[in-house]
Amino acid sequence: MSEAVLRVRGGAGGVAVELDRLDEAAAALARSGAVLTGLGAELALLRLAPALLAAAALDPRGAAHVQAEASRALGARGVAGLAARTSSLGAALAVAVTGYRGADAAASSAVAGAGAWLRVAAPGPALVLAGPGLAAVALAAGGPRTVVVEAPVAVPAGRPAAGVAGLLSRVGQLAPAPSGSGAVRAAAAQPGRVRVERITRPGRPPAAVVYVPGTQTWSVGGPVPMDAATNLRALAGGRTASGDAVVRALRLAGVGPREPVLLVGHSQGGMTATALAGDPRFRAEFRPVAVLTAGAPLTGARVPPGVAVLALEHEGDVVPFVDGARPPDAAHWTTVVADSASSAPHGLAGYARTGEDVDASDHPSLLAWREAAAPFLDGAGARSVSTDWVARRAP
Amino acid sequence: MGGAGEVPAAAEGDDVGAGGGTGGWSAGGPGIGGLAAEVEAGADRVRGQAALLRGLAGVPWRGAAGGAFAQQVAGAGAEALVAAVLLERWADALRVHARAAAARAEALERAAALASAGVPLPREGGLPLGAVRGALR
Repeated sequence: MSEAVLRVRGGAGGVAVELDRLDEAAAALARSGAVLTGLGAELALLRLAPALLAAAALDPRGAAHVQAEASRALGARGVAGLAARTSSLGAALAVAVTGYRGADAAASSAVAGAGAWLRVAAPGPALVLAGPGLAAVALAAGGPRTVVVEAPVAVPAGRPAAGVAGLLSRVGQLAPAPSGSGAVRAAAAQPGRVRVERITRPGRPPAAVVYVPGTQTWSVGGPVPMDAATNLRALAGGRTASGDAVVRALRLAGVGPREPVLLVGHSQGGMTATALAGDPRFRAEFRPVAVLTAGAPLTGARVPPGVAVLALEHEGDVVPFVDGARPPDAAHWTTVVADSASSAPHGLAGYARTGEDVDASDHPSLLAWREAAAPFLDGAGARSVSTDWVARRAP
Repeated sequence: MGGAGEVPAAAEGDDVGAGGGTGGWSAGGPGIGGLAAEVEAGADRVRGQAALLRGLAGVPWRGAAGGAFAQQVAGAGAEALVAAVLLERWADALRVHARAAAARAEALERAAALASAGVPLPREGGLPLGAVRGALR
């Protein structure tokens, strides 16, 4: 069984396991539970031995003591409890192994099986893929390999976003749609862009926002990092080409290890953002302090408490639920579920409108997130300079 | 655990009671000493399961869930050791009980012999020893 396939399940908990060994462990636990259950029954019969009944007439206090000790030894803290615990551990492990194996099968049909969310999220026709071992192929093909970041595309200087709505709107500007004219139009049409925004304000240290777009192509392992393979790898909890693109863009932009960073991502971009914020290697090089996601399955990403996460989800948007995991209920992790005002509940425009409601809210959790994100938002004297970095998987 | 303060103790190594073997007391069937040995053997079997569980926990399981699993199995292994200790205490209580019952039976036999010789029967703890003499035979 390939490790790549195991990672499909691992995304829900960051686990990579060896199924055969787990199988053996489950069987051993089941056997142990059976042995202990049988032993408990054998020993319980001893309490009724004729010798004990006769001796009780001669030493009633001792007999009572013997029975009390027998009850303790055979009861919940003794053999019976141990048998139950061991059996239930074995059963739970057997179920987990079945689940892991099911994940293997699910991975093989992930692209087709997740067609609902792919179609919702896809800008074009859904890719139709089939065949055994597809997921393994897709995971292998979609690996980070070498991600090349091409020449940067400068974005006109301006001001930082005023709030959640503005941040999400800027992610939308990374969609590969023809706009502008000349070189700007050509650059804007390119998929695979990641934007790094440097924010300065008088008397304050600089801060950086990195914007990560969602899925831009449904091909697998092609040049554009934001593809279906990255979706699979991100759901599996693995390193992704999109994540590597973000890292390279931050390095090329000159973001230092002490500069606070806000990661903003939509859909797949949200997965990438939370995965990076939870990755110790990323945190060793950069200083993520906040994450904003919209419509992203967060796959149980383990973001440390020092990073404030705000995750927006729409009722009717199936994408945040494809990982089957619920966001954690933690002080540093705020999830907002809202009705979508748009007919496309996964669309970024609808999430930007929900962002306006978030900006207007005085809910303590949202106020706390805004406070954490304050270095990245507009304020007195604040200026921002953005650069788009076009990332490609090396052939 | 029982202990000498709770029940009368027979002298160490007394062969008390027919059928029970050394340290046992029996009114037919396996003696209490034999029962204690069976319980002790059960404790050994539980220790064997504890070793198995410790072995499983010691496997270098990977990932967070693997670590949690190892922790649970290690916890079960520790519980197994506790269960073995509880069985040992049961076995100890059985041995003490066997000695106490044997000592009492011996006293009753002595009293019955005295009664047969015409010596007035003593009372022990309100129990007329003669009344139970027949039951002991």
